[in-house]
Amino acid sequence: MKTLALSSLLACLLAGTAMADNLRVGTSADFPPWESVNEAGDVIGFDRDVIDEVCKRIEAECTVANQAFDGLLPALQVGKFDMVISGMSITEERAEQVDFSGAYAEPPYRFAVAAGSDLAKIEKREDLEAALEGKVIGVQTGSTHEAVVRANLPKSEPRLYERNEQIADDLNAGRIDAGLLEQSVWEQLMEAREGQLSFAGPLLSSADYAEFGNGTAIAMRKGSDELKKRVDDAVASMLADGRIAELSNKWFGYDLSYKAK
Amino acid sequence: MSVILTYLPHLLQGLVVTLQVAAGSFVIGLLIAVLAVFGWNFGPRPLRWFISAYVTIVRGLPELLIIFLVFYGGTVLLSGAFGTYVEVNALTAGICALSVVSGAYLTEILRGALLTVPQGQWEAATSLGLSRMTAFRDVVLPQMLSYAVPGLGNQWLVILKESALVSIIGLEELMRKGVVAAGATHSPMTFYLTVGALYVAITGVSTLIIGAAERRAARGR
Repeated sequence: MKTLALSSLLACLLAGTAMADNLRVGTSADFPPWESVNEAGDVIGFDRDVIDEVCKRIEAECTVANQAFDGLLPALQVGKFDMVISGMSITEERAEQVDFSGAYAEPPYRFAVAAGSDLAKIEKREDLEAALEGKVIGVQTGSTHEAVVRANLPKSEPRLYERNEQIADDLNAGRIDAGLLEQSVWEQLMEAREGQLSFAGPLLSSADYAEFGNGTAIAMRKGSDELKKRVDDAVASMLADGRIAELSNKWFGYDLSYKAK
Repeated sequence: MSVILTYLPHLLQGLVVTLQVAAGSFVIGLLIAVLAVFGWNFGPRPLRWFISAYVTIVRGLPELLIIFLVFYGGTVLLSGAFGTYVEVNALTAGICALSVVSGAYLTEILRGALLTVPQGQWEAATSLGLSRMTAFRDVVLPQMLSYAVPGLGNQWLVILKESALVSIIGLEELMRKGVVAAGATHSPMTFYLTVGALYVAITGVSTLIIGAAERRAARGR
């Protein structure tokens, strides 16, 4: 009886180790082209392709689950997920709670304004900063863009929005003067709102404003050092052999793979 | 229009989850509330303190906080107890969390209804030789529930909409499905209006049922 109990316990433990390479990945699939849900209900997008390739290179079976963005990091911390990939920028605040892999992407950012606004004619960043003094700039709550506006445009007023399409619609309605978002997000918003919005100023990166963070990365639970090392290696090899650039071109039409500084 | 049709199956799946969460937490919450009212009337003093603390605290906290506490706190406790990560099914967790919330409000609704049952009913029942327990179960409880119907119906509608909060723990209910579809298609207004219409439809049907229940409960009164 005792042997039976012991051997079944052992079997469980062994099964446990064999399962160790089944990794659960969390993402908030409402942010195309980074990630979205297609008609068949599958999660697709740039991040999906990146994580599939990472899992292939670290020889793990991954299952991707879709969950609201605000719940992703708590779920990672309690162990519901092993990794989170959701177009998430590395910020100091987040890095206190979780570990990040090396950055795999660094998307460009940009200001946009209502079509026909005088601001749309400005080309230089410095001129735009001056022109935005005293104006209201729409940003997403808790985003790196919010931090950028607060730190670098102290004379402008940031207005916080839950979702990016609300920023686009309020620009169009004239409630705000400008909005700051990722270039790819603007492109999608502009496509759906033909002729309503224009870009203002140049493409921006963390070289312009450090608060944009240090690129987009995969989040893992603190202390999962072994997994982090494997993921880091996979990301580094994907950047080196151009796989990330290839996937980026497929989903965005340009290369936003992370360039080492 | 065609975008709605392609994503309509997703929305309907979300609708089913919304109904499961709302119905589950309403029924369990009602059970909690009946037990709490029972304990309030017959329990020892410490139990009454406990019930009163439960109602006060839960009614004082935002629902979102309770959902976080039940799901993440519960997972941490269970995982600690078993020494390994314990998967808590999101539907179960969502229903548990909202049951805790609705239980507190329903307790107050039932307590209010209980006060409406005339004292004479108790006296008549006990004078017939029924014990206080039997008097509660057979005489007072049915009357209490009939007085509570309007309040219960109202709470049902509240839970129906609170169920939208459980998307934070990974449940894909109607509202979350709507957000996902809006993101994928870049037509937020289309999907938010569709989701809104679906909520109004459930609320409409619910109102009809509650109305019928109210008329039935008022019979012979």
